Amino acid sequence: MAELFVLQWQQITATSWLMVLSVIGFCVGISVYRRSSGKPLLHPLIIGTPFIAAILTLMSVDFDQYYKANGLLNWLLGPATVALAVPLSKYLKPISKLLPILTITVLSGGFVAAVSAISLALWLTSEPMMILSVAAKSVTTPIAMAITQQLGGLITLITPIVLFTGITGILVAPRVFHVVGLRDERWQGLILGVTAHAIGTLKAFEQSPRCGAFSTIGMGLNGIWTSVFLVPMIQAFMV
Amino acid sequence: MAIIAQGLSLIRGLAVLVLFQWLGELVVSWTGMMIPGPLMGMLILLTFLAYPSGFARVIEPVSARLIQNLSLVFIPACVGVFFLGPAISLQIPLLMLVVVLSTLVAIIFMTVLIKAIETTKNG
Repeated sequence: MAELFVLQWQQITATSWLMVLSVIGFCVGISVYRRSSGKPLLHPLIIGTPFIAAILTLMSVDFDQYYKANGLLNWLLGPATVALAVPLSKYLKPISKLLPILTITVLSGGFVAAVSAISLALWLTSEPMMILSVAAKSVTTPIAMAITQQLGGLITLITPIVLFTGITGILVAPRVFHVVGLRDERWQGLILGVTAHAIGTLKAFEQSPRCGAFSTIGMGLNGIWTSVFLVPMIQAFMV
Repeated sequence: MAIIAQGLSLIRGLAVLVLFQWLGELVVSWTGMMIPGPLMGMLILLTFLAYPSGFARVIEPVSARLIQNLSLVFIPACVGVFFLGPAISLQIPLLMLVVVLSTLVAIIFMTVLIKAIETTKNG
């Protein structure tokens, strides 16, 4: 118990001026994103992070030093994960009648998303590290980072992977819906949430609040479900 | 003064979130469950929120702000992708292929599954 507090305290107190660089990069990313009226390929992280990486290289600051200096931001990941309960609880109550279908689709969909990523990674790459770092890809980033940490994957890889998954999802999903003929926006939202997490949810809210609500549920339930099955499953296979 | 009051209320909300996170970490370490502590904290908070109370009002403003600006929290880890070293960087195109294909598989699977459930229900 005490260890937990000490670790978190050390993380927060290691914060220094380099955190300002993250905030500046974030602001640059946001302003480009807003000016492009929300193009997915101009996501704030895609614009902001190369900018920060370039400045770090120019000033010859090494990454570990920068990462430690951002202790406060990394620490906020915990409370931010807990905060996801708020939107989830808001939308869970009105749809309790649909819970059986939701459960079946989210459980199987989340499972297929993770297993397909793991098996493709097994087939295409040889490194076990890659498999551990790609497994949590359809889960919303704060949960994906926590899962990847438990798996022993690379935290720095999972963040861009999750981002790229979300962008792929919102580009591909409308075409699949059209081809298969799925018109009900509730289910469209759910699928966007399970497979493209927060980026899909943002897209779903653009369509309609109802679509967004289902997306939020899909994202939340899939985050919970994946963290329950993924870690034991991988540990059982990797020994 | 209004700004200070607002700031204090945000800090109070944050303190509650952190409390739930610690509660989650405690439960996970006591029971030896293999799920992340903050996620357990989220589940505990979710059960609390299922019962109506004044409690939701304390955490709502800070939660909305955290979720709106979530990208900021991911920046430090995401910057790391540019400093990974050649062994891993070379694998990135392959990883992107893995992501595109598996995302496509998952979306097709779910769409077909839901379509099938819909048709059996209506017919």
